[in-house]
Amino acid sequence: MYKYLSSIKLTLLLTYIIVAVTMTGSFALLFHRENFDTIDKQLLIDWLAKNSPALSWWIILLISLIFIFAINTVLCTYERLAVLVKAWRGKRVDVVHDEATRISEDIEKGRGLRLRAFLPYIAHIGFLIALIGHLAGSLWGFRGADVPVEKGEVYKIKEAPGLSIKVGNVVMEIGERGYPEEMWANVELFEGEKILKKSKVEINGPLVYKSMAIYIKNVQSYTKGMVISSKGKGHASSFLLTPGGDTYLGTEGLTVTAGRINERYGAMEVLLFKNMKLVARQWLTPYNPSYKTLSYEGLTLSAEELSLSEAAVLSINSDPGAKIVFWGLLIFAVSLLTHLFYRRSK
Amino acid sequence: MQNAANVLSYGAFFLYISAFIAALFDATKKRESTPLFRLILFPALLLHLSGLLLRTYYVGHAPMANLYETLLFFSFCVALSTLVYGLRYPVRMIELISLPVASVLLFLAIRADHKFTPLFLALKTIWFEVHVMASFAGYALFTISFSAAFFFLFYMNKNLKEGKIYEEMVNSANVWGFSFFSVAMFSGAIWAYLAWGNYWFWEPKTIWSFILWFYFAGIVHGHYLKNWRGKRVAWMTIFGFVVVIFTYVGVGLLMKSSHNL
Repeated sequence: MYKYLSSIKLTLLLTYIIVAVTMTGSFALLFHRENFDTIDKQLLIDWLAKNSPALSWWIILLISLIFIFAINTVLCTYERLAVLVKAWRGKRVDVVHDEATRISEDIEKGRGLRLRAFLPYIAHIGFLIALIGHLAGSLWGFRGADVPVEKGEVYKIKEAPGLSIKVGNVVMEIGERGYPEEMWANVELFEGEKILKKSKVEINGPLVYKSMAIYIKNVQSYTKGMVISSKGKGHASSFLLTPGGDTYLGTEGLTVTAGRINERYGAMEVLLFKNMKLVARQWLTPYNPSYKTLSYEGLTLSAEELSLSEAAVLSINSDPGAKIVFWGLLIFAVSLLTHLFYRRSK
Repeated sequence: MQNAANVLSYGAFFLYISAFIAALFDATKKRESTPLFRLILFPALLLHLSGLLLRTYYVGHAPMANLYETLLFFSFCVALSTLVYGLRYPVRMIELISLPVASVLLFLAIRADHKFTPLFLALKTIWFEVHVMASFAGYALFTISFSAAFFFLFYMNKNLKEGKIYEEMVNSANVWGFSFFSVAMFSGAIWAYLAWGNYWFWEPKTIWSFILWFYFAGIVHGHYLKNWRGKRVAWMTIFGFVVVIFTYVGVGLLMKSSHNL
């Protein structure tokens, strides 16, 4: 059993079963696209818990197969490294004849062992490290949703209690052909009052702090409010009206309040109260003369201009396994490439 | 500028066809003389490379951001790999398959939409170039191993010496191709993490890249088993080329993927 678990025959069998299962799964994904849309927006363990096994069977099977594959890799690597280390120390080793390897042939023919012989197994170790990292990232951490954070605003990261971010300048520049040429925001990461890290967050340049990374996905211009001018009843004034804020006109108990905003038409619903009783309600926009004014008993409210603000749409993720994966893949790739270029002793 | 690049591409295409015809002629000649196809292939590659460089100058970035550019680059890699393996190994048959493949890819490139679109912000990084170049170097080497596997099976029982050489070519091209594709996977993972927040996405292109990588990992390991070496590895390599083509174009055409060609 141990011999079979550590054999290359099992490696090959598992490899092609994994390939077949993944191929099948890729078509399952194609036919159930709407169910798989959320898989990348949360931890894999959470997605599996929320979705029926009828849909996720192939992922569960894949995980199981890769688990066995990892055991095979560990045992296979250990077996061969043990032989190599023995040979390196000049001790007599038994060569495995049913799985003839170049290293075994080297030992049989009395050639000295060099680093090259170890490189494929260092690559295997790199692969195993990457798998461990991927497991960690699938079980722990979080994948945050996209959140718009306005310049100057402090956003508390709900997935990471105690941590918050503050956005400084937000920049988006559109080129001549209508495509974004530049997009970034200054972001500070806080724990309480203490700044943990601050940096310019741009595409391909997230703010990375330990296992957390903050990305900029988009820059949104949105309507913060509307500048309204008020004339009549013996007074004239101009003020910024924003949702959630009342403006008292200072006459006859009149108060103006903002309702809903329609970003598409650049319009805002304006409500006029007299002594706390709603007396007029209208959508106003500075862009359409037919909807520019609201009149009530000699008072005229006019939409002068929109007050726009920019918000950085940020995404905050935490993947405790990501760095482990990258180290593992780096070890794998470097070992593989070194093995290719390293000359064999003649 | 693009017109000049097109002219160079057409020139390379016709030279590749000429090189293929010369390769057919070379196949009947004695091995000692310099293959005629190499004398034609070298200037063809120069023309092709010039076209690539002109396109780079025209668009302001490495030419790998759309179907036209990737076809142009892929065909160049296949032709270059053909020359390298033709110089390295004393046999001259693989170009009978690899050159037509390069020619078809280049022809499809010439017929594709050449429209220039500015590079998306996510593509403005060195990882884009590393990832795409390594991917297509891998694809090109898998094409060479496919060609060599075909001739290995042909010569297996007819000429032991030639069969051994083709077997060595299959193994060499598979190992080099797997190594380059591993670099592609690694660089792609880093780029995805920096650009989109995750090094792995459950979407068709990423999944099929994993399939291709794992498939050839199996073939590389299969070479170390006595009863896999030779014929079985050759057949697996031939089928592996189908996986390469499906990963490159099939996924983009048949499956909805956010990953560009």
